[in-house]
Amino acid sequence: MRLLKKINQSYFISSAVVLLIGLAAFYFLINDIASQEIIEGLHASEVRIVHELGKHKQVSGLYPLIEVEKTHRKGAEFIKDTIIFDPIEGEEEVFKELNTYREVNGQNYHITIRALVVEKEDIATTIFLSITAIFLLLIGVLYFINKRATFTVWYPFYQNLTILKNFSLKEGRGISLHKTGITEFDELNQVITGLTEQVSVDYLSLKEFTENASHEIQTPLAVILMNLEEVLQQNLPEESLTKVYHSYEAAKRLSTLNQHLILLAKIENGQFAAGNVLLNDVVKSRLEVLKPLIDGMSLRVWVDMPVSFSVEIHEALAEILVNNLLSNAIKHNNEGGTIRIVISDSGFEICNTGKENPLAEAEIFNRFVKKESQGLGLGLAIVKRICNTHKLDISYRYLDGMHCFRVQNIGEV
Amino acid sequence: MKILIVEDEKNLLETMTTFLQQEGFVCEMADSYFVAEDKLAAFDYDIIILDITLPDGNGLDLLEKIKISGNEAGVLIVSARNSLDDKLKGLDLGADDYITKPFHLSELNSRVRAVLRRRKFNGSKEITFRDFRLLPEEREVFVGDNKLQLTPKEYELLLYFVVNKNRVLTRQSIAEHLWGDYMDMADRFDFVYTHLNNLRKKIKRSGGNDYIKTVYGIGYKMEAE
Repeated sequence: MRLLKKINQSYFISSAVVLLIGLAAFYFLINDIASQEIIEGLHASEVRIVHELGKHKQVSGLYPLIEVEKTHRKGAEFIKDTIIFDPIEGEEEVFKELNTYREVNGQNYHITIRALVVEKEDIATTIFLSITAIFLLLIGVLYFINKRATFTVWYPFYQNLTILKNFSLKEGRGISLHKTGITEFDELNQVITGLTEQVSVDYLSLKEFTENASHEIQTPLAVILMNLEEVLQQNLPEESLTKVYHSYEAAKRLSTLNQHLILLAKIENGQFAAGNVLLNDVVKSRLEVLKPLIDGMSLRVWVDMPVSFSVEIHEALAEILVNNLLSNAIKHNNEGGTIRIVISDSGFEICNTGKENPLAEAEIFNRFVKKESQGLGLGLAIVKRICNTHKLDISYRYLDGMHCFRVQNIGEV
Repeated sequence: MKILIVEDEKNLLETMTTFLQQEGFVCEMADSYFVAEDKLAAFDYDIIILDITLPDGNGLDLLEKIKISGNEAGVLIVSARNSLDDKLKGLDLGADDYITKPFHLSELNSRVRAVLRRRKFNGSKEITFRDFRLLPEEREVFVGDNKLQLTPKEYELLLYFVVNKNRVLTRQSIAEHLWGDYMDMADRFDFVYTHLNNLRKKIKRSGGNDYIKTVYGIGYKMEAE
């Protein structure tokens, strides 16, 4: 949930609660004030009537508001609510009624004064409606204020967020964020800037260490491999030879793995100078090199290159790129299967028949992911790295029973 | 043929020396920049195998000195860093070839001999092996009077065997010689096998003898007699 929405939501809830309490308070308060006002009014009327009576004037009633009758009874005044049918309104109405007994000029009167009471329901409805209106207005105004704030206050925040999203360790340096002018954000930016710088420095030194280690491993591996190779030349019993060969094989594997990791690091570091390479030629030459393997599995190869596709890349990397994809297409193919290569002006696609299940696209480009093959699991990782560093995009799809790897210029998907 | 091997890793230096001596070369060892410079001043060599990273200096500097002094020796650079920069710089400075650690001794042998052929005999001298005749410049092979129609890879394969005759060549070593380090081919060994089979067939069809013996589970060996 976006921060703005979250804030709006909490505004909404808390204002709703406050307004509900306000509603109840208003209701009782207004009720109370209204009834006090009415009672005051009733008393005022009583005083006026008594005053009139004192001047020996005849005060006739005005039903149902005023009733004056002569009586012998005496009593204390009292107030009560009563329901009387009001012929004018044509309905039963609630009246507040003041009953009082007064002696004026020796004559005892029973004075009854009534006033129409505002109905409680009406009060409630009115309060509810007006408060709801205020509430909606408030929410509306808050919403627009927040929306405006997003553009003014939050703009630098979103700007910095974009910078953060684009942060890559591989660039080897921290990021610098825009000043927002808001203390909290600036503080956060400071922390983030420091953090990314630290992480970059750590990453660089770790990378340096790994690369140095990889290079240093080569010499002892050379010693091991050479000596084992020399032992293999001797006339040893087969059992010993096999053991030596297994050691040799393992050391060789280690060495190859190491070399591939160094290659990955070198591609990452951009240590290959790019030139303009025509992929059509690379595909042709690689097919030529791999022909014995293709023939060995009786594969049919369809090549469709109506146009040329060229990339700014080092030739060796272009060869590795095409080679790894092609040898995968051969390796994972069925006997007598098909390989289809299509080159367009923005990319190329290599498809092959094979196992009938699509591969998991998310995994296949990771290092050391291998399926039933004796490879190192670095082939596609290297392909991916080459693509990433040369403005190329690689994608996988499973179409009509064929596994397809498509390499194309970024932005022309 | 006299070779100077400049390498600071003693173990490697000795292994390389022993191997090249077996191959019939006269070898001298230098385990530092200083020793190498000293020996170069005193003696003439046909080939210098030069490690770039030495404890007391850079092999590339030594290479520059060798070239400036007008030394005619062929230079084969050895490096633990498979760096293109180093490679280009080395070749620019006049090195004949460049090999990256770890390498196969048979690969070293084949490179040394290629340098020798290019230098001493201008690459034109033919190599004979039993009933084979290889012409490196034309990249042609004859069995008796019959010319073998070989693909470039088959030619390289045969040359590799001939140069390293009587040695067990592991499948790894052959694959690496033919296709380099980085090519990702899980079925490289099948690939080696396919090429080798084609080569054998062609040799037999031309009436030659197949001297390549399979060393079960390990590799192949070209038998000299």
